[in-house]
Amino acid sequence: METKVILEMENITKQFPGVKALSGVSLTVHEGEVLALLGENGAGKSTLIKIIAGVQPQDSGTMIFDGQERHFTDPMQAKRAGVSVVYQELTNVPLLTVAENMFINQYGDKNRVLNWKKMYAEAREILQNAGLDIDVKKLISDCNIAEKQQLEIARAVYENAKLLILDEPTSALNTREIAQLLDTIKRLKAQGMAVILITHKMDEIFPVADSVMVLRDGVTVASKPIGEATEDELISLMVGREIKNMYPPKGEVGGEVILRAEGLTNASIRDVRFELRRGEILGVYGLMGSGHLELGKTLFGCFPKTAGHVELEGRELRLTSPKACIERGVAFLPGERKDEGIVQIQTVAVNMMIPSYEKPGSPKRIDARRERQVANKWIEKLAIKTNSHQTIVETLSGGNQQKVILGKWLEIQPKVIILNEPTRGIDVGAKVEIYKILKDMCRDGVSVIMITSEMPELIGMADRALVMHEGALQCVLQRDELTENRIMSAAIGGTGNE
Amino acid sequence: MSENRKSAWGRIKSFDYLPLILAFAIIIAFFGITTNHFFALRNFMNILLYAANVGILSCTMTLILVSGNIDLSVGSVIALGGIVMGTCLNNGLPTAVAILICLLACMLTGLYNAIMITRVHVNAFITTLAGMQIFRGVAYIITNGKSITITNEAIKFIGRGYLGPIPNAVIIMLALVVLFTWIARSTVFGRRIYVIGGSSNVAFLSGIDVSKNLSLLFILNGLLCGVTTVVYCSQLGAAMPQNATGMEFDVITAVVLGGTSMSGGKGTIVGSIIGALLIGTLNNGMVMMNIQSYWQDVIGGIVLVIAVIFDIIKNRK
Repeated sequence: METKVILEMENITKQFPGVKALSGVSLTVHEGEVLALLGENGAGKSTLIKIIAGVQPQDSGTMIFDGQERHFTDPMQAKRAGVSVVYQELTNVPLLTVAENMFINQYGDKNRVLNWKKMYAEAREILQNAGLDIDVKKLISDCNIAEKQQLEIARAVYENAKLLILDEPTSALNTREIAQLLDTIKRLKAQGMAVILITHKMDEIFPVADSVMVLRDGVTVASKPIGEATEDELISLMVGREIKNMYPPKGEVGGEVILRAEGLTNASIRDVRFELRRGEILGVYGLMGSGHLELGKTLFGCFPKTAGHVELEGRELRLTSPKACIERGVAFLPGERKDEGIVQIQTVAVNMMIPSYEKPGSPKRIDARRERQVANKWIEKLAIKTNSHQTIVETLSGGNQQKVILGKWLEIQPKVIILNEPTRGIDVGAKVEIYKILKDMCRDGVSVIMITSEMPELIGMADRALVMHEGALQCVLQRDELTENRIMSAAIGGTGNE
Repeated sequence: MSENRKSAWGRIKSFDYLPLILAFAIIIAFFGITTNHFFALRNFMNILLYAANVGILSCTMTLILVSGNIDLSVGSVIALGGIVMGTCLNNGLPTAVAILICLLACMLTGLYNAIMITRVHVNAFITTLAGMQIFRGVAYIITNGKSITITNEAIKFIGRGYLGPIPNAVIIMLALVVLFTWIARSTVFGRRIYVIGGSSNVAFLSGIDVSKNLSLLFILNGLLCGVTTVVYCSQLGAAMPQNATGMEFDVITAVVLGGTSMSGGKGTIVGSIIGALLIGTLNNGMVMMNIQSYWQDVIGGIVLVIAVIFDIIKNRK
């Protein structure tokens, strides 16, 4: 292939206090090439991206971008040269319109006066070219994650990016949106854009990527054309050991019914009815807006119900507040780990104790010794990698933060635990550990409601699954009916019978 | 980063307070050199007496900032509380009853702030900014702008009397500092305030009744405003509608100087007390140097800005 090299990095090294984040990493990306960048959290992917994007400089090594040796010192410089990064935390301004966000970097550049008509017209044209059907006057805060992402990509194209870096773009998307995004990537590739795609998900890499590079502990462990790689190989390269079974084996679930919902209705769900058995993992799947996320929060007392009835162990579960639900032994692992799950600036021990003090009859005084014992118990049982129980949670990796949240809920000895995207943004190794923890919990008699948008996870873990569509329960799939086709067919409003 | 579970001694050892104490030492040295009577014992008493008012208020103000809120109305509440107490005394009510009614009135303002913030969901800044106007306005209306002279001996003793060599006001402050440090560090209520300030979402989703705990905090803050009212009026010998004007400024400056984060979740009462002493010393020294009061305002403002910049730098690390 006689294509132009867009980015060439040679022998990049970056040292942080106490950690060598990157050592001797080299990579090359050509025009029209999609490079999949794999690695567990902490493997050095983010550091590498930050160097390319000018967020932080490398200690040594060279970077040639677009035929010129570059040493970006700030992100704007990199952007002007043609590097565009779409981060996990999207950077759109929520209270501005789609069009305003499109031109945010060149507001009134020439005469410092906004020409709204022209701006809307241009924005419309850009979106049309990108094949997006979004109203340019819509506020960003009214767009869903997929739309925001597509808008950022469209903006990058408009700003003449030569290299597009996508940082785990699919972690918050549903299957349909992922397909759309992969199509967009293919289209950009055909137009000659160089793309670096960071992801944990194998099924996304093979259809779009041309080459793949795996980082582990700051070192390149593999770099090859995609045709020469296999899924199992990449996973074991990433974790550094072989993972044979992602999911623990499913056991028999013969327990009695512990939770029963009848006709549960509110602003986002209607007439939802299901039963949950002791020790069972009940999966919940739905596309964006189907009410599956709201079902979880409704069962935890976050949204009031307008009709229906929920029973826990034969007694009514009053869904008035999270506190009321915790008192009955219901726990909830939220989807937004940083905003809803942990107090970032607090220690592991403080985070783990929060709900325990809200149970009826719990002490009103802080007992530092007991807190230490509790924290150390879960640090050990859940294999949390932390210096001590006094470590600030912010400094832990995503997987370990998630384990802290699991620990804080296990400490209240829950009967039912509702999980919302339990492994979002967590690397493969930690995922496997969390699956095992969940299975062990079930064996101990805890019942799990697992809301997830990752189909392999749903199929691998759930004993049964509810599929939601437009706020209603579309169907209940038994264990042997859990196939991607049936789940998707039900999620888009079909019968779930393939 | 510093963490909240360290003991006061642990913090001193690990130099958390070092910049503050250094600044304090520089200020003392500066005034000691430039003025004549700065090192007089009587002058130190003056500093302590003023710092006591700010110190009492900063016990709960620290926790309010830790919870991610703010209270700008404390100065006005003290003015209103004073007028309420003075009116009660003028109408022949027993001293204890007058004090009690004053404390209750101040707690009521705290309840009002709490309801606006936690139930009506007006943010704390706006709620207490409005409260600042309302409470002082009411104080003016009650007396038609006049002051009430406090002649009651018992009340005078509270703010001006001494227990041995130590002023009562300072003893009241120290007692409250010990009590509220204990509340902050060793009770579940205190822990909840830190968790709410760290993330009120996480607090709510972990079963903490955020509204109830914040309400309790604002009512406690009202109570300490009441205590300050008694001390303040006693020291001044009068209840006036313009009492404690700008007190909120000194208290918030003291708390921020003491290392409490404006973004919530972090802070200690001991730090705030050191901040209060620093502010007291600074105000006193500027008076001793005969610095024009307009300049005192400018310098006070600059100190707050510097404190906030330190907070920002610390958070960036």
